[in-house]
Amino acid sequence: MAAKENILERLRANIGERFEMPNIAINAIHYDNVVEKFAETCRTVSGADVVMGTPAEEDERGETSTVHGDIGVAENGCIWIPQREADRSFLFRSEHLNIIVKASDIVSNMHEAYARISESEEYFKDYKYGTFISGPSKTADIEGALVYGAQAARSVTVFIE
Amino acid sequence: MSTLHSKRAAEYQKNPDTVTHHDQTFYNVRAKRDRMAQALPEWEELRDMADRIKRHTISHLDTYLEKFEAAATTNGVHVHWAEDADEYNDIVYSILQQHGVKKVVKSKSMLTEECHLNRSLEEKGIEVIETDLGERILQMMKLAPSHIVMPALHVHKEDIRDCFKAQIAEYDEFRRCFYETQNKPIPEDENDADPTMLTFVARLHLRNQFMTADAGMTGCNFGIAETGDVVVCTNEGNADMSTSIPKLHIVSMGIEKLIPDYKAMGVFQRLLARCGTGQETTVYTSHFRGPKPGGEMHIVLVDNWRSRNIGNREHWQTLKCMRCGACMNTCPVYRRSAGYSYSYFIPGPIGINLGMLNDRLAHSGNVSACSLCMSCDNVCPVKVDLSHQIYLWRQQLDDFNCANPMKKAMSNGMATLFNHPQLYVNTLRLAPLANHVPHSLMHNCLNPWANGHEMMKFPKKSFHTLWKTIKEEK
Repeated sequence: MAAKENILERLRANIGERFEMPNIAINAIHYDNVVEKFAETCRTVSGADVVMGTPAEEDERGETSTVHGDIGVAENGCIWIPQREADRSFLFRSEHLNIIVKASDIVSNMHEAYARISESEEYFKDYKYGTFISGPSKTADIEGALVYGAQAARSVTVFIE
Repeated sequence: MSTLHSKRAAEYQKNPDTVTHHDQTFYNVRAKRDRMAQALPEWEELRDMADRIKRHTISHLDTYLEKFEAAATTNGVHVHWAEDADEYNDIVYSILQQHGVKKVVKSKSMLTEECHLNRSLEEKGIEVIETDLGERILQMMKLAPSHIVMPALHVHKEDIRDCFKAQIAEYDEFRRCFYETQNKPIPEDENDADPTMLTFVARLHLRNQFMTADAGMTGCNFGIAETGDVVVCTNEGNADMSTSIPKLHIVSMGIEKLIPDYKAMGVFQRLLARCGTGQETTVYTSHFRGPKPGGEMHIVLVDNWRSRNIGNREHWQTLKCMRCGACMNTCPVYRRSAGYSYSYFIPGPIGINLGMLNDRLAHSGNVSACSLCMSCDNVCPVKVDLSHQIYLWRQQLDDFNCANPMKKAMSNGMATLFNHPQLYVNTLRLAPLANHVPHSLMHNCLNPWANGHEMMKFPKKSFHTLWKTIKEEK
């Protein structure tokens, strides 16, 4: 472990002034009707379809997969999806993804979302992975043309229940 | 004595349509970034906080690295440390070798570019497949990235089509499949280059790669010291594809990527995509905290030049950079000279500075690629004072023998002139003689100041003379 000691030694020797950690309190954007804003963001920013209600029946893992999201974020359409089963690849391999979110789990911004994740005992316990997903996989790598379905889900439907 | 940048930029200017297209493409991204900034009342508060968090973390990197390593180890992750590029490449190779890996799928990582990992692994017989669409296109075309976030925007779709046709054996089948899924007739012209079709072809091509790879590699946008999370942000989902199928996951991480905790993560998540591509968020913000069941996860912490520059009082703040690319999109010099004009693999204002920290002798030519307009300083989400840094590097060029001799001679000449008032007055009196110098003598390769514009005409009477005359008349 010579490398580790050498790197840490150089850092200790070279770091100049040490700055204090600021108190992170952002006066962040807040939406009064957070569910309405979330639905709008999912449509316009994420490029997802939005349905108020529950999917008729949960599909088999395959072309379409259905998953429960724990937190919806109104400012950017992100939905927190912790890993809940041994194989998480269906989240990305499925052509279409249905994500179910409870209206009561929708927050205004990412600060609130990360606070919820930090406070919960549930996440990263069984499986050490979680992701925020905001709509279908996208790319604009070919001449800047926006294309849905670069690698992962080509379309996403968000169900708000 | 032109710099490499100015020579390459001059070459690039020979195709004005390409320049205009490049300029407009990236200015549009800048405009989208502005709309994002204006939509959030707390925008400046976020930048200010991001700057302070990074200052704190960088200036406590020794303790945060140990904290991060401890958390990651508790999570069952193997943590490795590499002092330089060679050591890093060796570590990655030995992990792959232990697992008998023949093919690696990897998502975009500027650190692997910095260390030339792909070349190093390929020389040892390991197949490396880039999975970010832009990076994959460049890899197939054997080109380097021209931008850190949108690496292949300078490549034309017709060239991409030709490349795919030549290198993807199933091209015709995938193309047919695309039109079938879209319920559209297959175009008779086999040379169609619709970006949606080409993306679909790449999607199916890369699916095969994900399924057959033995290991997945990712970079790291943020490492969270408190929890040991590695956060990777993508729009395509390729980092998640690369890591959810193969059992082995190797993360490459520059030591400056650390942030303290989830509270800080909220600040950076909100800034990254807004600044980088003008989106509210990347499609995927993935937190990797440990190996998947039955799998292995390794993190390689790479120094390479960072710890020796952290003590540089003038330049250490360059380490705050989170590689969003906003400074490139706004830079008038980058937009009109493009990525390949720079000698360092990261172009634009941040690339100029990172290149100097990495190897100042090799990359000092880039410091002239700046008009000091300071636009980059104003868009940087972590408030790296990029143009001021470039100005400071310019002042130091002479110290490491990289100053332009012509500019140096002129500076010395001007210093003599301005320090001797009588000499100055006499010279000024003679200046109008320069007006009579034949055009061809002024406009030639010896006088770079006459490139692209006419030289000034000296007035018959100087301001000093006029001032004196007016005073005397009164």
